[in-house]
Amino acid sequence: MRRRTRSGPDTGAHVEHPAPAPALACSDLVAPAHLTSALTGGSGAAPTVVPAFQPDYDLRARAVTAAGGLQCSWRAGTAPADDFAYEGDWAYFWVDILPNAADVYHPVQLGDAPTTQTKALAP
Amino acid sequence: MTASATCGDPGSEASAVINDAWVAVRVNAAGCNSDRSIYVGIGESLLDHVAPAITDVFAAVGAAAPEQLGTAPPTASPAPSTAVGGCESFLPATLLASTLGANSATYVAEKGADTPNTPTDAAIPRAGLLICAAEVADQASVGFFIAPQRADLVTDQISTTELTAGLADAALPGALPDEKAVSDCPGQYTCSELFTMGGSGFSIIHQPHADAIAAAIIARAR
Repeated sequence: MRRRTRSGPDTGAHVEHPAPAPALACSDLVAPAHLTSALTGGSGAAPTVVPAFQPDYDLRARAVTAAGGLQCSWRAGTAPADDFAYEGDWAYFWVDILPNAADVYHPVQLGDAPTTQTKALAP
Repeated sequence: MTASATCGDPGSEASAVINDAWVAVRVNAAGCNSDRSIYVGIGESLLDHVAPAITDVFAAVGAAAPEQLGTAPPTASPAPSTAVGGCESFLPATLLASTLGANSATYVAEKGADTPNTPTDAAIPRAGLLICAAEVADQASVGFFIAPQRADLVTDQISTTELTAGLADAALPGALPDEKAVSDCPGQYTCSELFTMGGSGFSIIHQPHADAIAAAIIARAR
């Protein structure tokens, strides 16, 4: 919203239009407390959560961004040293959003088969 | 709100179509496959554990105006055969074969290209990316990826340091001064090359020949 000045008379010469809503950003997606709880493990100790992507050397890692979508990722724990690390205390929470994709959506379970399993997450 | 849900290897993922967008949310933790992840002992399913965060994401996307969600085009392209032709134009299969010391190599269409499993799968044709998969005589098959005229993608990937942790600046034979490459070749277990050339971007993961394949692509273009 643009700030209006109250210091002068409104002559009507400038008609204020609302600015278009800004593009959705990663910081708009998740309440920080929910991000922290999602990345809290069995110890119950709340981790420090930082925006970070998991190492990925394949250029497909940026495909969703390249197609006009939004990719977000956060990490708790020590960053892995490379893209084939599989041990450590790290955990990532990541989001991919590809707009205008209802026509190609496949609900996938465990990698390769469409699934009919669903889960209710919110009202 | 209902979403497709999956728990297990390699983590926990939920996806849904919201506001016409394909939204996928996933947790991936070290040691997930060996019951040594941080999530051991959480006392509930992993999906239940992360449900409040997933719900936030879905709600945020649901509340967004369409113009806030980006501009991905609504149709997919190109056909797989086009992708094979694109791969041939950058590195003819005969040249790939000789680079690998094989008698022959043949590019094949990516399986399942018409049934994408993830937003990434669906984004690949929309972004014009080429999946180059080749059957190689008497060797394991080879796959690499090309972003034609999208060197910026690879430049961004290289500059996002956490994405390319473990790779170091590399000098590929024939590369021009403004072209970038990072690599972990020759690695003991892996060999990866991520590089730009002539306005396009490339990623090759092949032990032990990723650097040789990269050099062949550059030599072919110069």
